[in-house]
Amino acid sequence: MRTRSKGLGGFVAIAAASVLAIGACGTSGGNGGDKTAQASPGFAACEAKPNSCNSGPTKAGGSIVVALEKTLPNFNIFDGDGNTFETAQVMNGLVPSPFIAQPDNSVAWNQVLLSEEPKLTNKSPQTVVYKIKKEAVWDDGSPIDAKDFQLYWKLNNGKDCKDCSPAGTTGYELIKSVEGSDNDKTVTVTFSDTYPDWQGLFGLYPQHLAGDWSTPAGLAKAYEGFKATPTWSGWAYKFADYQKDVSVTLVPNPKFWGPKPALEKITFKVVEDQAQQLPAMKNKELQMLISQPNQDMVTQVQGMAGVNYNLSKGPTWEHIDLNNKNAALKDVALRQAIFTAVNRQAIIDKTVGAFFKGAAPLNNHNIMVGAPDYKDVITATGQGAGNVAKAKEILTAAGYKIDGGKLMGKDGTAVPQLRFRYTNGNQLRQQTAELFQSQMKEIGIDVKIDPTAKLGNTLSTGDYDIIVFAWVGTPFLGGSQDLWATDGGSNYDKYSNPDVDKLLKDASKELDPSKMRQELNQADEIMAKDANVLPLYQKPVFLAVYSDYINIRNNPTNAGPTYNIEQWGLKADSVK
Amino acid sequence: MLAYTIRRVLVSIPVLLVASMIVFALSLFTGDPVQEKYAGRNPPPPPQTIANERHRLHLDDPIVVQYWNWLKNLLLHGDWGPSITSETNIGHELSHRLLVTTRLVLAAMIVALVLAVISGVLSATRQYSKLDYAFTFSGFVFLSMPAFWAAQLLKTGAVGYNEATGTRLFFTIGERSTDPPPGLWNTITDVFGHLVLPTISLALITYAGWSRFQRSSMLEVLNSDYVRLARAKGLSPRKVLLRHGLRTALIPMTTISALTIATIIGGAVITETVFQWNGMGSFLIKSIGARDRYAVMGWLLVSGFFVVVGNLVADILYGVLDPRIRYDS
Repeated sequence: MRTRSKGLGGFVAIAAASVLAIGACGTSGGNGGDKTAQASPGFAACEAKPNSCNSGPTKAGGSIVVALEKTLPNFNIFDGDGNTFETAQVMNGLVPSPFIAQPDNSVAWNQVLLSEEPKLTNKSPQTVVYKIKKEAVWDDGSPIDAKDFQLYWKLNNGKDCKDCSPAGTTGYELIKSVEGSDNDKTVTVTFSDTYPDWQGLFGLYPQHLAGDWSTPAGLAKAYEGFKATPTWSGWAYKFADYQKDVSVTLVPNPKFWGPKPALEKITFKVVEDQAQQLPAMKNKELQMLISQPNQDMVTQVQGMAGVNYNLSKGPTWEHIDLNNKNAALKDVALRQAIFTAVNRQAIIDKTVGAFFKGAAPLNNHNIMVGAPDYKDVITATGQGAGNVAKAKEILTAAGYKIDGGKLMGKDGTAVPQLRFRYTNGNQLRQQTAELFQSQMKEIGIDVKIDPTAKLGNTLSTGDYDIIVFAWVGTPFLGGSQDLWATDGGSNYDKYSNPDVDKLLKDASKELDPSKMRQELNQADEIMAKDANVLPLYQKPVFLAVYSDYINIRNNPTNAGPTYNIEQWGLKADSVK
Repeated sequence: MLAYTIRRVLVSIPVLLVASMIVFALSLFTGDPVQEKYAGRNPPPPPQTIANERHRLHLDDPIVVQYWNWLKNLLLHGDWGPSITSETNIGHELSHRLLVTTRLVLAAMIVALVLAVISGVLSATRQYSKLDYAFTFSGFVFLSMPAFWAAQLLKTGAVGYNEATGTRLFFTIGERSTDPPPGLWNTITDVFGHLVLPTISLALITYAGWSRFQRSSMLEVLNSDYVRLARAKGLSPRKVLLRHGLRTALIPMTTISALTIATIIGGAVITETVFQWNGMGSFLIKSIGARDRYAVMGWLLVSGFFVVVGNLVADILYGVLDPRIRYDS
């Protein structure tokens, strides 16, 4: 299902970080000993200091080859196709963005691009002011200014360019105007309605290379043009070479006004088969991996001499959903009993827990573990604990009976067989399905496992009783309405609760982040009691890099490890 | 012969057409490509994006119209249709990947052919000797070895060699280095370093089958009357073996080689995947995964074309090499 390729609408900034990097830091290899060893010279400090671990002085020069697991569809990061994690990793080197998602899941304003922190100058109408540094220029010397913001808005708002196919219009469609002043170095963005996730907006592309974009046809042409191999840069690196489906090579942008980047060459090499990355890493054809790991990958990297690795909880979280289209599952008591009988720890132990010591049940539907205002709304309900006795109590109290190992409904007929769907070929989900099936046997529910090769179709048509898939968390929580509200575009289970709807709506209009999260937690408590979706765990993200490099660290948000690409380098001789 | 060739080519056109129709119709059952592409995105893509994408991929036309437009544009304009990834030009992709696969396959086939002929001849001439048993044993080992495993073993060995010698003679991924060191010699060693492992990997598996084939073909010839006659006439054993025996025994080998090469050009899927070569096989796998209908159609036509040509070449060669066969008589 959806992996780290989605929700990159506002690019680096929106690249999300609903997850705090509480991850376990890895060991540099070569010892092949304790497979859960956590200390390493490079990443030992990451658990306590995710934003500053493995940092230090660099020496000039050097190069690095980084593996990408997917090819790059195009270079327009806000396009429906181009909006992937891999494209973002490359374009992080070129695209200036007002906010950058940090490894600890916070969002930091870009102090190289902007002269001061963007301010919310008015709440009604919501108005935000950005001040761009005077020295900020594209690599041809043209200024980075308000017109770049204007073009980005027009390409993404779904109104000005009907032939554009952006990945999302959220936020941009609520902007009323983008105006420049102070020689276009001050940008004032005014919204027609409240949009709390405003920090997730904008990643700039050069408007001066877009031709005449004053008409819809001109905008469409500009949109298409940005899909092509970039001949421009507004950040530390620029393209030197691109071989489709093979590699991208970046070299420093001489016009970059920030601190000079150390590495003189960064190559992203496409290696789509994860298993092939490992011998290539050992053979030093690759120096760095970014991956959603499996046990084999972690074990093998542990055995590689001179390689540091880091495992952190990622933004992708797995969950089990019950479909309200199924008449039997409409009964909240049955749903509660099912989730109470599910043993999440057993599922974790058999799946990601085998190689990720930090894996643990996730107990919130919106806010990831460690993020501000994360609240455990699940444990108190008793769900996910594998408590068969309590599940049976719930069922008995609601008039169900277990007769001859079969659960009989209130009307005396057997509860029908339930179809559990998972993505065909996804081993973790297959194991989850099998464990779920055996756990349900304990309360007399017959579960048929039925993999699907067409997950999109299965979800959109609601062709399941129970399903396991994943969402990607972000630090921008306004999208929660799409997931859980009655008319939410991604509410495939057709879950509906007016109280939840109201709280989610209030939260989506709340500019105070803390208050917003509290409203979401209130909604979440109701959702947990309604037992419609059971969060399982956050999947780990994995970074492995040779220990010669410094200032590289795992960023489990969608910004990815290249969020600070301009700081990467070889260790200065003084720190070796 | 010319009339025969033309007739065969003409017959193959409806075959390819029917195959393309069947594949196009079957692709209907693989699900809506746009829906699957955006599966589970939150927030979901705007309706405008979905509508634009469906229009671009002609999904808003009836299936018959879709097929007809595809065929018409291909024949009249050389347009292979839109890929699910908007920036991918299927025609360019196919021509590039065909070259990549051909380079891999031809190198491997030459190695396999030489090895198979030598071992087949030696096995047949020294039937039931230790050498014959050794070739037979190795042939069966390679035949029964899964291709991906053989490739991984080769990789492990190569990485071990590089580590032990402190060099990097062998590369494990790609067709060449993104940024090879300058100079002709360095370029040659770089290409060689990338080519050698996949070539050996593909060659070993092909060699295994072919060597058995060559052995039995050679044995059949060596026990035939005319070879016995040649010996009786007092010809030297070398002359009997090479001129009378091997020449005849190579006829079936020639045909099978032409057929195998044509088939493998469709994609040495496992070798390409393990060594991350962007060839025809990996193109097919990726296209199927992405439900990229027109890309699969393109692959079908190109690989189908090579199978047809391979069959034709095999038949023609058979006619040329074996005087008993005359197609036009």
